[in-house]
Amino acid sequence: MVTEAKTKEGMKIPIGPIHPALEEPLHFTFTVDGERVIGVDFRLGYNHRGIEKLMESKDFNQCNYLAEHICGICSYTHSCCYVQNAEKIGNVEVPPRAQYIRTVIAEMERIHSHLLWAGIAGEEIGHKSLFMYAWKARELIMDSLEEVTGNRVNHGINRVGGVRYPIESGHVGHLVGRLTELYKRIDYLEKVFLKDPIIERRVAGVGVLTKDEARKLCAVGPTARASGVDIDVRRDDPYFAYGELDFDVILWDGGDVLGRTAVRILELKESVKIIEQALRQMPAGPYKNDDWKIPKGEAVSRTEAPRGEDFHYMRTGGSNKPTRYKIRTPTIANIPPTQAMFKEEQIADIPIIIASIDPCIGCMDRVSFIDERGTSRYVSFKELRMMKK
Amino acid sequence: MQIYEFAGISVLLVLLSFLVGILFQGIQRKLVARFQHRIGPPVFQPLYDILKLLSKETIIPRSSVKPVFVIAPFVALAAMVTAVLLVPVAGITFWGFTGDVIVLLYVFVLASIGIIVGASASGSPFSAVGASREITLLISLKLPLSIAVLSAAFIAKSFSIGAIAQNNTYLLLVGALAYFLCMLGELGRAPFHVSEAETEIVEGVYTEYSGRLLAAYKIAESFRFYALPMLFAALFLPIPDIGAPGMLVLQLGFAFIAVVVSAVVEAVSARFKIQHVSGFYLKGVLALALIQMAIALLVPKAV
Repeated sequence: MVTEAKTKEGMKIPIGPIHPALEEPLHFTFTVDGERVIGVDFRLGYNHRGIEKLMESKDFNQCNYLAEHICGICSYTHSCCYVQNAEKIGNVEVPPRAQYIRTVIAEMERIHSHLLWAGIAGEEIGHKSLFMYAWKARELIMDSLEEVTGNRVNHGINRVGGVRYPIESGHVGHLVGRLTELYKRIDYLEKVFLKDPIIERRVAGVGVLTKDEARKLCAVGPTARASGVDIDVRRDDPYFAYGELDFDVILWDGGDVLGRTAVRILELKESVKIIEQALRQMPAGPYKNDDWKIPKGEAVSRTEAPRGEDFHYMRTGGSNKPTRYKIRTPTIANIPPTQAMFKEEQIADIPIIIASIDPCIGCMDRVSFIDERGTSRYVSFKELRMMKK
Repeated sequence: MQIYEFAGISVLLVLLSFLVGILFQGIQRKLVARFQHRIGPPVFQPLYDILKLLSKETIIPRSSVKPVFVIAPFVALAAMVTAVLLVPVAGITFWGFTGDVIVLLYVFVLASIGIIVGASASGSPFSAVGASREITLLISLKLPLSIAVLSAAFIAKSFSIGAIAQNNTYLLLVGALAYFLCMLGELGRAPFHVSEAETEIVEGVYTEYSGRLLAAYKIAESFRFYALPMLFAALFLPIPDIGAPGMLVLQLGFAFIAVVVSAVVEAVSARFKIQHVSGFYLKGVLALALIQMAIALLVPKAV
């Protein structure tokens, strides 16, 4: 169709910062020729909240609370990274029971995050029923999270030196029952996502990221594993109780959206296994250690968040506050690989490709990127007021 | 005197068919919701939406071609009203004349063109993509649809919709399937909701429309929900001559079943890509329609 927007080089289609395919603000400009994507440009920085700076003004207990609020979905993994840093600097001994409890909560969070993703993926390819089914299954694990920790999303169960409360024996029974039911539903979702002919047409061979590109562009988590890059912090650099548990790292060769879907769905099953194992092997004993003091020092820690490797750095100066805190969330590592995925794909594939890396913009924006070509400019508050008049 | 009666009955027919269309639309949404474990909107939600839109401000984008942008929704609406008047009810076409089946096919095309032209005139890239998809849909879908309808005409040996509707035959089942699949695409429901694919191109063809202009499109859509299933029941399914009330109930019943099946299809499917849609229609459904055409041309002579 001929419209004013169409130029010789192709039509520019803006996706975001406000668009039905995106849950959070992120901007892509696609250059398209008909239905085919011939170029892509992205812009971040709409959601910069200054958390790193804010960390420097809070004491060590408040920082834990703030770290948990970096993200709204993978909140627990940030809290884990933070307490690991504090424990490393302070040489705090963490009781093994606390480590097991942390492992259980972290895996429960992975289940809820992956199921949330499965629903979104369904919606992006126009399958509303799948969205409803995945989110209904997710409610099972959300109920358990609420029961065990007291909260659905920001659990607030971590503390430096252990956890706030143990998992009560009654809650363990409920959790195991729900996991059995959940396993059946995951089986069903696996069948739908990997066997349904229409879904297969939408995801197989779409948004391919080769192994080389995945390495070169530093993809992490399920995005990398779906391209055959064998990385998983849980196995490569065991933290909490992961070293004592037996689980597989799911790999897939294709590097397409189907692969990223399959990796996540199969990881759900592994997570169920990990939780069941951890609950069985959980030792008795204390679950917290309040005897700690954090001296001057620095530490880095990483955890395997649902979206990939989460990385935190902390430096302390001997006071009750960190002097520098640095966060690198998995999404920021997974955004550049999308540019390789969009090559020669169609407009219809854009939403599912963006969704396939499971972007979490809220926790990603650390810095605002400035346009090097100088086409954007800053507007001062004074100018804004002038414009208003 | 007769002209007033004629006009009065026509207005009544349009209003009633609008309500039936709303009801079909609402029931379809409700059913899909129940399949998805949702409560779903009230059955009359499509009507509430239209009433709300009628009272809202209409925004005309600066980049649009204003006259075309404003007229296009009413072209689509007028085409659908014409179609509704040509749809046989209980075997009677109120506005019928010889050759009306050809007019009906053109009127459906005109309704689609009303959408395409309006979207192209709105100056939004999302609408432009939506319009190009709607064109592809139009080209790939109208061919099997027309062939299916015309084979019904050949079997009835008449180009008048009334005569086709009164002709009861079991020879049209292949064509019925072809028509039903085309109907799903015409109604813009999953898996064929490509031209207003929300997560891809916002509202697609309707992106820039608001207020009364959008309401005109929505009303046309409700008419479509009446016309296509009712036509399906009348042309392709055998409705025995058991008196007007009985035939009306039977026709509404068949149309209702078609709506229920379309809800099931919508609940279990993802969205096709546009090349899948055209492939589906120009390979699978077109083959069905051609088989039906062959049956229509060969079988009656053999009998």
